[in-house]
Amino acid sequence: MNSIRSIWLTYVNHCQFAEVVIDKFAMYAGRRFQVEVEGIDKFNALAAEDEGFVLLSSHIGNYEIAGYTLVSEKKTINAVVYEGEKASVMTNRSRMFVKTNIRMIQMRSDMSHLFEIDKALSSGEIVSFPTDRVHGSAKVVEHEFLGGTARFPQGPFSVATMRGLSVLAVNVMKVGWTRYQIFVTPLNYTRTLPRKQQIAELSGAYVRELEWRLRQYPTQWYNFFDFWR
Amino acid sequence: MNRKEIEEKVKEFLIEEMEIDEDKIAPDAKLKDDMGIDSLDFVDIVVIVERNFGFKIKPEEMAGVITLSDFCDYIESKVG
Repeated sequence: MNSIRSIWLTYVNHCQFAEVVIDKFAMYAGRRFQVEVEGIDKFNALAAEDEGFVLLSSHIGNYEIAGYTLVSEKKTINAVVYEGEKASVMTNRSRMFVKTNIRMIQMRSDMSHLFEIDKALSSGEIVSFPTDRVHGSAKVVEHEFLGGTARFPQGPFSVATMRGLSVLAVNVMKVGWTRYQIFVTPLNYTRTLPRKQQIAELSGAYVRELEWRLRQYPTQWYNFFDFWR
Repeated sequence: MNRKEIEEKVKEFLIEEMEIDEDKIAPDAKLKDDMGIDSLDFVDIVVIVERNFGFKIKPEEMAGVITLSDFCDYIESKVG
């Protein structure tokens, strides 16, 4: 990629990031966006079963939009969020998500969140994990990603495979001023393999899906640090 | 189940399920600092303990569990 194109795409990336932030606060204020969902049948099928399942997301597009569209009357969606999330964002989310059967599990230093995660999954609910940042844990999986080797947190994949749960990748991409497209993609892994291989298989499937979406929407990735260090 | 059986079972799942090096496993080893067990590992440990020992870990009961020996004490108090 030449330097002019690189500079231009970086500019577009920052502008789109600003748009996504504005869209989030517009949603908090009640604004509705046009949203289409590819793969809603996959989500609905799992939501109809008794067993819980896992949603994996990353800092691409605007995942928050999914909270108002991927709705299950039968199952609560428990979204795991980092402890450092801004209070204003958390307050607005709590207010908006109560209407869509979503609750947030904030990661805390006293580890109380882990029991909430276990309780949710044991109760047949849905747990959503951010999966593209290694945060507070040394346990990682490495995969080839966009031309280099990158690390991803092992935890979400470990939790899913320990229980043999179904896993969906959810990516929400901005496709117009007021339009979003949600992609719901099942991630497969072989439950009869040794667990370490299950984790490798599942995380590999996730990373391939993430790379696929980013190649489709290269300016909607919002990790502003040295991802491949 | 006696204490020795509990310790062997715990050691087995720490090595096989949690992939902790055997040389890091010692009674006074701290779960978090020495064995590198982090918060999401505990989510898995809750499941493993339930499968192996038949009870569900309660968060309020884990407050004083720091070392491997503490952890085995806790399990022993539940199944002993």
